[in-house]
Amino acid sequence: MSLICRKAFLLERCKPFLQPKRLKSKINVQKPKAPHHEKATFLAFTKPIFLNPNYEKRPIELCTKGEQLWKKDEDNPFQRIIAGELLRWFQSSRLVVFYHMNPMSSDDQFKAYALFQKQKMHFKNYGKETLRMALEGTPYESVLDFYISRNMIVFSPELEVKKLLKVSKKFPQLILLAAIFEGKFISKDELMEYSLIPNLQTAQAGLVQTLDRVGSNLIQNLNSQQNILVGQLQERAKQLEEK
Amino acid sequence: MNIRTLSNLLLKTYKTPPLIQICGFKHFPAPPSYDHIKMPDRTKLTIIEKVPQYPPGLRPPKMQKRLRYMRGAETLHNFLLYKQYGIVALTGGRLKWIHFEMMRLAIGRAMDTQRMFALWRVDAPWQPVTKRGQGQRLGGGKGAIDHYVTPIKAGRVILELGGKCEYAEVQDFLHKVAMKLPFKAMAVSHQMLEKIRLKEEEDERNNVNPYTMKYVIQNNMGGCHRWLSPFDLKWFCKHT
Repeated sequence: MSLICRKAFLLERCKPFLQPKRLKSKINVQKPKAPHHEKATFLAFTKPIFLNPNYEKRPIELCTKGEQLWKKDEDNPFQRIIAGELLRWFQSSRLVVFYHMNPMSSDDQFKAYALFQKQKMHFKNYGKETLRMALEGTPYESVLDFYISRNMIVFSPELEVKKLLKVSKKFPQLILLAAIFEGKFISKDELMEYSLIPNLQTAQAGLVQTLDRVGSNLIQNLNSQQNILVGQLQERAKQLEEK
Repeated sequence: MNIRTLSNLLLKTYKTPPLIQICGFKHFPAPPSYDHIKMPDRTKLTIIEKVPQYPPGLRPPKMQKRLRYMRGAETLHNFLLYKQYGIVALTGGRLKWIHFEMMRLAIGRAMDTQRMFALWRVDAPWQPVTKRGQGQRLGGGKGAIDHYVTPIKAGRVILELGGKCEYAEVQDFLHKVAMKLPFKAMAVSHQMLEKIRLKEEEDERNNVNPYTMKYVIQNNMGGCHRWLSPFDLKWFCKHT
């Protein structure tokens, strides 16, 4: 009867019998007890396992040898100033010549600098990073393609191509790549052509001659038969005189 | 294929890349600015009392060992208030007055009071530790109070050091002081603590083992609740 009554009361509360557990052993915080076998097994079993992130990487990706070498400055204020100066050099000089520089001693470098200085030309050396800072976004951006190895630049306020070539001939380590002539990119061959022009008057005379050439050719063609006849008659007269 | 062509082929494949030595721009970055740091009035560590002050007439009460004050991890005082440098306890322990004096004098001597300041992050010794007396037999009640201690939990910041200085300057003497403490401790900077926290979180995420102690205990796997202590149930066997 009582059982049925109890079962009828489905919401009967269970009063658990509580017995507090008193730990007898005192722990030593500095020298903790070694865990017993079962606990040690559990600890070993639950040790974290990490997959090696370098498992499928090639040795070249893992190599950290050159990292320090290629570390770049985030922002170098001094470099920014120099880059600004460089851009002003580009804008103010009429002739800018680009050289590839093979290894040369500082003595030779200084000699080149001195010789250029005598012609009032400025022999300068800049790094690619500085050049990139100065010329990115400007019309001079294609100059960055020259900068693979060591390079030198000569800025000239005057268009003295012959004198420049004369100086650079003395230094075989400086290999001329290209130039900017009055704001226009020109190749090495074009620069050589420009050097052959002596001065403005001669160039003008040459232009006039080219323009005249058509007319003079026509006159020549028209008079050619008469000239030949005249020549032959003169020869014949000479022959008769000799007789 | 003769030897010459073979050697040429090998040289081509295993040629080392040429290294061109270049010198870059000199970069002298500006020194770090300490404008945001406000120096307090008292820069040196205060003198810690050996015995706590009780109201007159009150007999200093004796106390049980209460080792629970040393067990587990510190949840409240485990970060640097001034976010600079300090000493952190790696395990639990007790600090006596003599340890306080050692720290106070060592740091007072080593630090530059014009640029740096230090402060305590623990209470003065308050927990009485009783001793029976050497050679005494058992019985006759609890022993007399011998000295007072401060219980420390793992992860607690013991003291903090701040000011217009870099970690490299203070690391040396902070480490020396940390090594002299009666428990494992280390000299830290705010960045180091952040790094440690991040690494812990990363390890938790990258752990491939699906069975962590936490999972095993929470699911009573292998009937581990039979032999686990209440502290293990709370701290998942991480601390003693």
